[in-house]
Amino acid sequence: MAGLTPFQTVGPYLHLGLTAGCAPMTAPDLTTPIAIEGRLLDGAGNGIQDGVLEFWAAGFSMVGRAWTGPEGRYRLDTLKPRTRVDEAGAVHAPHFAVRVLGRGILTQYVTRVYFADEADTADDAVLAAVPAARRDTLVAAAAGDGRYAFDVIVQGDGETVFFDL
Amino acid sequence: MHSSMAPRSPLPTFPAVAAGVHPPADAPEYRATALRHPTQPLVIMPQTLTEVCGPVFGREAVGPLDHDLTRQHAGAPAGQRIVIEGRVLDEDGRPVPHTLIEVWQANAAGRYAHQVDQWDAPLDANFSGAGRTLTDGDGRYRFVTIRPGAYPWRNHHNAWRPAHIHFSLFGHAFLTRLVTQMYFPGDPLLALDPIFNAIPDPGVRARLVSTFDLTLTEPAFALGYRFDLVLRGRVGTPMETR
Repeated sequence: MAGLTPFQTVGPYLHLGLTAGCAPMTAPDLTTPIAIEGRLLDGAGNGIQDGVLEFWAAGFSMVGRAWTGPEGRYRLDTLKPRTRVDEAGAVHAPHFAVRVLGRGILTQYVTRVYFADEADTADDAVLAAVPAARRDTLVAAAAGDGRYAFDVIVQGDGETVFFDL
Repeated sequence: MHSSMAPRSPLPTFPAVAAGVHPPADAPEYRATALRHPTQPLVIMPQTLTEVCGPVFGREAVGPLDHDLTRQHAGAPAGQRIVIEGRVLDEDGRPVPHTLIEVWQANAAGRYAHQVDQWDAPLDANFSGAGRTLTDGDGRYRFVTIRPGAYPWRNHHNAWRPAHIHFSLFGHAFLTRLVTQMYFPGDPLLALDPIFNAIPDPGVRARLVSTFDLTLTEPAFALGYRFDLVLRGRVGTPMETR
């Protein structure tokens, strides 16, 4: 058995290397363009300017990477995923898995983003297992024109739910 | 490009990561973690299709010279030329073929070609410090580069990062992703580095130190270093090929 290689931080110069997937994401059978935008925030409420969010959903050709910039702001142009019902009948509302990397982050923080205007979000099997008081941290609000607002707070008030997978 | 959605049943599952492999999110000696680590417990969730598949990078993702950081400009970069070879494996020791590896590093003087890096060491017009490649069918990869220099950082008084090269790998699922740093054997700065030493177990830490390998060393060309990487996957299944 081979020992797993441990994580190390991407450090402040991540932009040099993490360039794949920075183009808009595509998926062959999805047609609704959306943008997910927001801020990556630290425990003092300040923006994390040297981070990257990686978005993934089954069926896409490529991971979507969004570097954070001034005030920790990011924007991802993508397509809206669809609801999926698995073999056991469980409902999986449209979502992306989201990975957070950055300076000062020694491993990875894994979360999800759902969409407030999707009726199936209320029935999602994974979201239902999240403590009710914290579910809102995983749901992006519709902001008009196909834009969705999704902040990731890594520490403190309103801390985003991160998963153990 | 296409996706490895693989809707066959049952879905692959990935074993839990043993405690003590990865560094903790809160590592006080690495000060930048103080306001950047979650304080709420992680929420346990099942692995679903989303997490057990991932993007597929084809040959078009990599240019012909992307693996050779010494040939990306008109002239040769300053510094000690090295080759780095290794294999990407899963936890059963099986190769991870055709997966993307991205690397980035400082130049020989310890300076990154990045606007945020402003310390007083020279830039090298012949060195950008970024590369990428795909593993072959046996999980093998090879980079040609120069040995990066150490550099100071502001974590604590007289803090210097040991020479290192950043590695980013995808594997074949959302859950196989790995971002790490490769170090060099015998570096006296390793014992002093809060990022390296955030990994509590010395034996686990040692997995990040490459080994000098004379069989990889190319006569009158470059010193050779070996660095294998192990991604999540498949523990407990019988080994078929080694």
